[in-house]
Amino acid sequence: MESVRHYAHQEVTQESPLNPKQETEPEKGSQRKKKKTYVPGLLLLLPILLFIFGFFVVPMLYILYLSFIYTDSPTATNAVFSLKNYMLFFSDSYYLSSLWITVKVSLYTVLVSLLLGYPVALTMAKSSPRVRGYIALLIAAPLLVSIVVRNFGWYLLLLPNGTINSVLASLGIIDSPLKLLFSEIGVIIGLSNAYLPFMILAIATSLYNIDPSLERASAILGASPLRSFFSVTLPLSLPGIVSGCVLVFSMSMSAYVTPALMGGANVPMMPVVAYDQINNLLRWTFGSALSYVLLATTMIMVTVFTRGFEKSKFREVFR
Amino acid sequence: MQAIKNAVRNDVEIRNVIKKFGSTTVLNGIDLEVRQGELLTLLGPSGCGKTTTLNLIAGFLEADEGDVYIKGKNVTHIPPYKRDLGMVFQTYSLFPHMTIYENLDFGLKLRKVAKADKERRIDSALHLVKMSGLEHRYPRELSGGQRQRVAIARALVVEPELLLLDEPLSNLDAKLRHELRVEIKRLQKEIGVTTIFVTHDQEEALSLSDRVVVMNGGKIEQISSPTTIYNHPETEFVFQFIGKSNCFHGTVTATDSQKISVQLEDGWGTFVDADNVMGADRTCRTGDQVKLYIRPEKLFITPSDQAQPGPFHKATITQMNYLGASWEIDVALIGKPVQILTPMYDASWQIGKEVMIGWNPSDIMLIKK
Amino acid sequence: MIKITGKLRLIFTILTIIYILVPLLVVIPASFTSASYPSFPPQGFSFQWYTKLLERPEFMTALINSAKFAFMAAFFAVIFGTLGALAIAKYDIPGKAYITSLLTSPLSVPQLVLGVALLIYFTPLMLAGTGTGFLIAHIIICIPYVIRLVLTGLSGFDYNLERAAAILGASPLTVFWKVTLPLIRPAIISGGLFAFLISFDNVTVSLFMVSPDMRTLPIEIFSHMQDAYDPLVASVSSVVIFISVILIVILEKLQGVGKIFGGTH
Repeated sequence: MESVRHYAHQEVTQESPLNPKQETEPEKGSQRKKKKTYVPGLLLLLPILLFIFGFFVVPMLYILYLSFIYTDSPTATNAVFSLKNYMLFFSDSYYLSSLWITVKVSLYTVLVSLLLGYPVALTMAKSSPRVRGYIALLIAAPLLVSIVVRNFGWYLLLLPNGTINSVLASLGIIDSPLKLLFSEIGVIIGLSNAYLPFMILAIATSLYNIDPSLERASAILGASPLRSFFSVTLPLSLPGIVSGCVLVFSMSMSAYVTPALMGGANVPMMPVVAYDQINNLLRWTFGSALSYVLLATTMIMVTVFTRGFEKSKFREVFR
Repeated sequence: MQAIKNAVRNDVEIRNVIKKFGSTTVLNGIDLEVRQGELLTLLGPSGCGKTTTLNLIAGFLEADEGDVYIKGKNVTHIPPYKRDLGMVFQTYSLFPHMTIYENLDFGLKLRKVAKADKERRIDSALHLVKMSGLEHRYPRELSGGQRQRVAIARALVVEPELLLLDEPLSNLDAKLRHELRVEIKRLQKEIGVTTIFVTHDQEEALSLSDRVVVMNGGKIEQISSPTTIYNHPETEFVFQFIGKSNCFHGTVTATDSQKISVQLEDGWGTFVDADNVMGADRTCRTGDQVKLYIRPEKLFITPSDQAQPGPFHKATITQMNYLGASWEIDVALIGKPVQILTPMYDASWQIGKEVMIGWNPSDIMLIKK
Repeated sequence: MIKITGKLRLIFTILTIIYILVPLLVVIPASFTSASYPSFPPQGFSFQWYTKLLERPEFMTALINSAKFAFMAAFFAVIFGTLGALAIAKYDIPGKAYITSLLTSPLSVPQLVLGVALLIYFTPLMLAGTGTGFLIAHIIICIPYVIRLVLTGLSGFDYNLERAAAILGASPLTVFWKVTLPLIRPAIISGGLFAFLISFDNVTVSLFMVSPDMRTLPIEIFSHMQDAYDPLVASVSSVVIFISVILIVILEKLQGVGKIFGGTH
């Protein structure tokens, strides 16, 4: 068997003030596993590549194409290639408000998850690996239970005669039940509850990567714990905050089950509307256009948000 | 509060400090004084409590018992950010999201130093560590050695009461480590800031320090100048931890005020200076079972046919290693391995050949078993 | 001061963890109610909603369907995914990074969009509403997780072990069966279990793939919740929680659930 070894060689350079050398950087991945021939590798990859291509890439491109096909009715044969589906979307206030509600609810979900999640991530970072593991298990395990079950739990708690309203009423805090379910609040509660673990784990990961002696350095230079948090820990955890926000935002934008169950017709978020168009009204081409509007909006917002941070004065943190 | 009235002022005093982590006692009754302007090294193997001691002085840990004074003030329960210290860490610990200038400015901002004064101080601190002109770089863009220089500048720019150095050189390669060691010594003498240096590297400790504190198992073994630590260790641990050693076993046959006679296992006798007794009471009596220690470079080696004064014994060479500046020669002395370090070389020294081994009574340290 | 903020943070952490768990914690007690409507805390105590569950064959059929398809989806996803991950980790294939992100990209496309795309694509192929179509869709959503987990498992793999075996005279196939596979088995098993749970729990993609003759348990619960509001949902949900907990315990032992989501070092 022929194999060529490539030894990772470290360049030795003379140290001078203007010739930075990173002695402590670990070597970038061992190159020893390199093979001269990768043909067997391609053979191993072939089944999965064909599968992904045939049942993911092609369907996705197909509905992109369909989104530019306009028909008057699902059964009409007068299909024309045009931007009409998209124009229809952007000229109808119902769809625009649906997009707006989707973005608004998603942003609130991100905000709630961030505010609730950061302290938990901080606790994880400051705990022993054992406690960290327990917390990770407790917050990640619900992700493996079907979302419909979790939503049903919220039904019990949030319905007009549910647990929360009963408790508040019996304490005399409210006279008539609060409208928690089938409202934006309900959807935000459901979504933030479902996606909070992702936010926590993303932030915790970036907190683990902060050298603990940085906080000590800051303390010894005279910074109080609060000051240290705001000038050292918080900025250095920005990558985790950003990736957590991006994750929660994208998932909220595309969530279907929670808006459908906890918002219903009162909170017509984009996925609910798209589902209706496809499955009930059979308007496939318009539904495809809706899907891509949702996809594009999410991607544009995520890109602007991420780029904004990477170009900010904290750009050094993202390297 | 009139604790300090000595001729030499103590900048730090640690009084009977005990520190436990759970059920393990990390510091078991430490007493330590750091004199004004000196460079004191805490030396010992990992787990000896040297870093814990430094962290108590820095304020990252609180003592379970005992007190810590800095410049006469009891700081035992004062948090680190109110102690006005400077510290350099093993991992450089520069704030990665701040430029070099912002890193140095961090402590000055907290001290509300006026802008003009600030720039002057940052300039001179960077000049001091030979890092002028890199103010607007980020730490990522510097090499390890450069980062550590900046870290030193950041610690010094606030003009701290004390400078604490926590193994600052251990992440650097050998050449850089030596270079920065010399630099730290120069800076410390130039500025005169009282400095506490933690290391597990004995060479670093011996070359840098005014005084060395050798620690082991949560206790202080010896506090002395580097030469005393090396030549007249007070305990067996210190002897073995600092430098290499050869060990012989024997019995004390006679003592007087000058010398102690010891009969070695193999039947030979040797003298030991009465001052060279290690251990708690530093005495021994006739009949005591003892161990004798001698450093490899204190042993003489001569070709076997040359007559020599003093106690010389026949030995057989088992191994010879050339180290460049010296030879490391392993011999068997009546079956026992002994190591010798000598800058000399004789062509007749070959593996399997006989040589004569000798020593001075003043170079042997003795301890009761 | 530090201690007070630390305590506050701890209390806050515990409350947030309770917030994450609360919807699951209320479901199980609610399933034992003796009333005709679900509530928390439950009214009285009875097993009636579990016995009623047994009288509803559609739930049982759906449960069997879910388990069957989740198993098949996990099986194929593990085969495709493990081969793919091995190729990516071991061979220096050009454009490796792009291939990896292509294989994990079904994760970053909204499931709803994926469902729409597959429904529209499957209809002319006569796959819409069939078991095959359902299976293909579920394999697609499982593949990224298997790829990720197996790649993680392979990242610490010492390829010198394979060389050592080869030097000792093992053929490439023997090396794979006797050395490589046993060493990455935990990663493959967790990949499979994870894929099983992902498929078992899925609603959004399934909604586009099911037909009146072929429904899965989450779909059954979903439509039941939209039509009626009775404790039957609580008892069937409790069954789902029970199954999930068993698999979570196994996963935790094998790999660490937090680690799978990137939560611990």
